[in-house]
Amino acid sequence: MNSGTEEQNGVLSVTELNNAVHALLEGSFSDVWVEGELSDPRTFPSGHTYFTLKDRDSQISAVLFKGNAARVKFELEHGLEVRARGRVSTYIKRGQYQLIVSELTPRRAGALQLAFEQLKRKLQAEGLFDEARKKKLPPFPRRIGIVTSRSGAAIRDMLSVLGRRFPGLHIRVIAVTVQGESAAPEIAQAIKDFNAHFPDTEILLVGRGGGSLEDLWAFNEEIVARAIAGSDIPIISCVGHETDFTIADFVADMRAPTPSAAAELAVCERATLEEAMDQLRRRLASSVAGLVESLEERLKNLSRSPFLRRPERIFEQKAQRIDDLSARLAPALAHRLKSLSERLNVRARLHPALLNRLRLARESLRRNAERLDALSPLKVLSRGYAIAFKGEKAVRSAAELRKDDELKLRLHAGEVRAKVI
Amino acid sequence: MTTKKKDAKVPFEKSLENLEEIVENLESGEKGLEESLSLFEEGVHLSKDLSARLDEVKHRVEVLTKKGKGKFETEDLEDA
Repeated sequence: MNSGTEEQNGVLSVTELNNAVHALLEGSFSDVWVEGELSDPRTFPSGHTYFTLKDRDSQISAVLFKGNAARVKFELEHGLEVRARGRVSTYIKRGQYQLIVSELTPRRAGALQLAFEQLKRKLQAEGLFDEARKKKLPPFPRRIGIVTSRSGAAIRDMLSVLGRRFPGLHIRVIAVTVQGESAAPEIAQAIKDFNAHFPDTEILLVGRGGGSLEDLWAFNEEIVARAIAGSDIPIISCVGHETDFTIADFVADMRAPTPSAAAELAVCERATLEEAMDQLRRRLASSVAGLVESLEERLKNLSRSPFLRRPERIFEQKAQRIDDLSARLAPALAHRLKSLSERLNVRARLHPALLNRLRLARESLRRNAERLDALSPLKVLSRGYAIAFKGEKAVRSAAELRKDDELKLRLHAGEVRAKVI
Repeated sequence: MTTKKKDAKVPFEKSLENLEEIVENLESGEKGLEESLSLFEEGVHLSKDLSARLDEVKHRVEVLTKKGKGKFETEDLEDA
């Protein structure tokens, strides 16, 4: 340094001294690693974070500028043991120096592991993982949304499982990048787009196939977690393999271990559903048939009673007595008795009325049973197909037949006999 | 499209539940003849409606690509 011989020349201005220190420090500490405890971090609206690094005996001011902060995935927490890489810089105006941090890693765990734990704690405290806020999945969704990569096994697996289990779905896919810097915002936006522009979507499958923790990272980002939590459409998450758990899984309404499993959880098997419906149809028909049968039986038993066989007998006697009495009474009273007698006659006609009601009921049953029959496999015949019977058995294969075998063909209308030539 | 009409409908699962209820009601044997027949008729109607609804969606896969604000291009994808 300048060691002027003349005293006057050796005196520096404050600015000169600070400039000299600046040159010395920045020249000597342009790229250092330092470890210590992170203390009192403050993030300003500018996006820069200021904090102190310290150990037992000393401390240094540090700053993490916005550009570098974006690469630090975990939260800067007070008390965290960190390793910082950076350069020493001086603030000439105030004669102070600080560390400009370019890279920051936690000392004990991996950076991503720490970020995961921090976000998990934070969202859990907010109640985003609460069972109570999870939406119920619709039992028979027909309009399905998928958010995943256009290429890769995940989309293929999901589409093939969905198509196999339930032919007859309307599936919409918003293709996104599933790893790298742009992945998280794209995934979050796709979830929002489904809600905003395709709200008739009944269930959303969000995920990707397996990969390293870094590959799956987008699904651990807060922006994705918030989009899932904010979705009105129920979401099944499916990220990586069975053992991979992501933040998205905790927030989603349901977690599936793999993309294929998500597809299986989303829709039931159509064949099972149709079988259940057929069974209901059969029970419907037989329950009413049974009711009519038992009513008929009861009526038959009642008709056997002598009272109902010849109900007029009972009334005959009474009518006679009325005639008898009426002859002896004043005409006005006779009139009243006559009307009473008519009412008794009406009761005698009740029996045929009951039979008639039952006949009507049976007709209505037959009409409805025909409508039910229109749903049966036999209606296929009306389109021109035929069933071939050999004896009582339907023929399924040409191998069951020999020359000269006699066949019965059941057509939509009628039957014909035929012979194998 | 048909979306609005569909939204106004009773959900599929609700109709299925109704049908189940009707069948159980009929099987209990506690209803009179008239009521049984009208339940039966309702059941037949529900069952036809449910079958029809299973067939009303044609299986299709669409890839949506965003083209500007709120606009999406739809591309049909061959079912894998």
